[in-house]
Amino acid sequence: MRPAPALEDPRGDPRIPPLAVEDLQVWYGDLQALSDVTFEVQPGKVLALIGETGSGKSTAALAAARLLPPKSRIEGHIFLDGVDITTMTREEVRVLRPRLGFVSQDAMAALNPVLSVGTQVAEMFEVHLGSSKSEALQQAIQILRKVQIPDPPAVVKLYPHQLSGGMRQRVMIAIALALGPRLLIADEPTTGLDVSVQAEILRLAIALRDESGAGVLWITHDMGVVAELADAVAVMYAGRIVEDGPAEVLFDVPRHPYTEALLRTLYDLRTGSRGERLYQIAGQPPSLQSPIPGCPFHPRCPRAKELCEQMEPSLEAMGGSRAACHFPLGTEVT
Amino acid sequence: MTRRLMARLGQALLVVIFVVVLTFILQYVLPGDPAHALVPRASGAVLERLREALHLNDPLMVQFARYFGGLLRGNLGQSYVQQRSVVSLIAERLPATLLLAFAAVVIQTLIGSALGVAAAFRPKVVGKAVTSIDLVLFSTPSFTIGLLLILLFGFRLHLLPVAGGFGLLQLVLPAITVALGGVPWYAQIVREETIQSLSSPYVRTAIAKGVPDRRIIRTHVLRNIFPPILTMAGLDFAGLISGVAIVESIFGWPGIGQLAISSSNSEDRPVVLGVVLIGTVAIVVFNLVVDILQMYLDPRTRQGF
Repeated sequence: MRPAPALEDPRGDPRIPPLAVEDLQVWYGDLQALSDVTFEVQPGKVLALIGETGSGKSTAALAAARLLPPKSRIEGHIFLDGVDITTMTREEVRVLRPRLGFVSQDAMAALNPVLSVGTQVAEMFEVHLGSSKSEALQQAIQILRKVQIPDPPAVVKLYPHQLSGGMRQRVMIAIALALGPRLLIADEPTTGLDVSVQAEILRLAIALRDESGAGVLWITHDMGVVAELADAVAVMYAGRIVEDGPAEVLFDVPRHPYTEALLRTLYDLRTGSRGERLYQIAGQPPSLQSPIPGCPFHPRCPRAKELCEQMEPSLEAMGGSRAACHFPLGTEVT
Repeated sequence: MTRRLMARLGQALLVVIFVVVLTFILQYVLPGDPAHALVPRASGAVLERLREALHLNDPLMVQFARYFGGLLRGNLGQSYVQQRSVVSLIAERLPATLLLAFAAVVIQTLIGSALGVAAAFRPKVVGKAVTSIDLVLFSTPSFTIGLLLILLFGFRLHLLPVAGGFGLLQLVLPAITVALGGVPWYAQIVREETIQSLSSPYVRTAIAKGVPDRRIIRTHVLRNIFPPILTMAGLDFAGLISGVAIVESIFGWPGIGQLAISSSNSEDRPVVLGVVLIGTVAIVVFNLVVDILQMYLDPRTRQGF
């Protein structure tokens, strides 16, 4: 893999987190999609952002990559490699893009349908390294080999629709990793893929993280993926982080009732016997149009009390993790 | 692939035959007497002999069989009015029509696409202006546009010849007249396609890759909207071959449209039929050509063909 020319040391300073997000708020018009979201991605580590549809996890990913649609509004800070990119112009961010790989869901739509795979991968080298067309194509073949695409010299001539879903997602990953980024943001990259293909993509992601030392922000709604991949986890609900911490701590001692409920869905799938009803979180996730006063989870929460309807809890450290709950699990209050 | 192509060719042939039959029957059943139109003040006996000579008294089936038999040998019959074959009459005037249609398509595609792309990028300022331009052009018929252009450039500014003759200077006004009718369509479709493309996931990917804006427009946006524009332009060109008749006669442009109108007035049925046939064949052939071109431009359609 060739390093980005802008960086003296391609691995960067190990003390600086590849991505740090502080008090991030995002509005779409009058609707607030994110409130006070704070997290950090460490070099060589995977932070999983998990939540239901509409929890704000994709918005957080797009905001961190400065890819939100023009009508949205951002407050707070996003530090890429210690550089605040929140208010940079598009062109200023563009120059930094080699450090920031982005893999989106649905590679079929995310790849240009009328350009060959080779053209789309080679574009990275043409644009950022000034490679000639033929040079760039050779570099594209190399990076495709790296993401374990069989017979890259043949694949570069193909178009996205001629590849399988798994291969397309590998092409997306190849593009994201082409210039050795410090940070990889993956927005539900395995959604819509077969389970066996999902596993392959996950293994590939882990191998590439170990090799490159890049930090990874992995967005998913799948607790199984989190268990497989994550070093740290942030659970999102209604545009907020309701619990975060090291993966093993969160899995062992979940503090927020929502985290616990998500884990139960996972264990049910793994250990549940046939014919048994799968565990399901009651109720609907809140919509942006009608924000819920107090703790946003209280209408669905089995532990909710009067306080939860009136006051929104803030993230508090407890044990090895942090949770935003008035009555967290494992600290029995009656 | 060849089988698909053969099926398409068969379809095309059926369409041509159908249009020929329909036009033939229409001319036969519509009121009017070519012999009378030819020699308006002739006596009954002369007219009768003329009808006999032109085979107008034969039953429909016999007339049709004769015409169709000639068609198979590439013979479109003789003009009633001019003592010449229809083929030579059309051949003489076809280049003028092709030139006019081609010039018009090029102008309308370029202007329309430029307006459409500009409107997509600057929806507030340019977009509103383009919408107004579109509205005016949509609602103005080509003969009005033509006459206005003649007034302005011909009689006021004395910049361009008003009418008559075949040449590049004479081409300018009719070509612009025809093109202005097509501009709003192109502007609207290109604008929609561009807006759609700009908000598409693949453009977001290009932004995430750090591709400069200009390159995004050139390689990612325009490459995607080019196939539909080309399809439109190809079909328009074919349609205009028989569609520029009115403009041709306003400007005295010596094309087949003008020929068709004058022949229609003088009941010169074989000539009218010939022009209709050429127009149909053009549309059918260009449909096919555009499909094949599309296949090369859009890799997704390649497999299906």
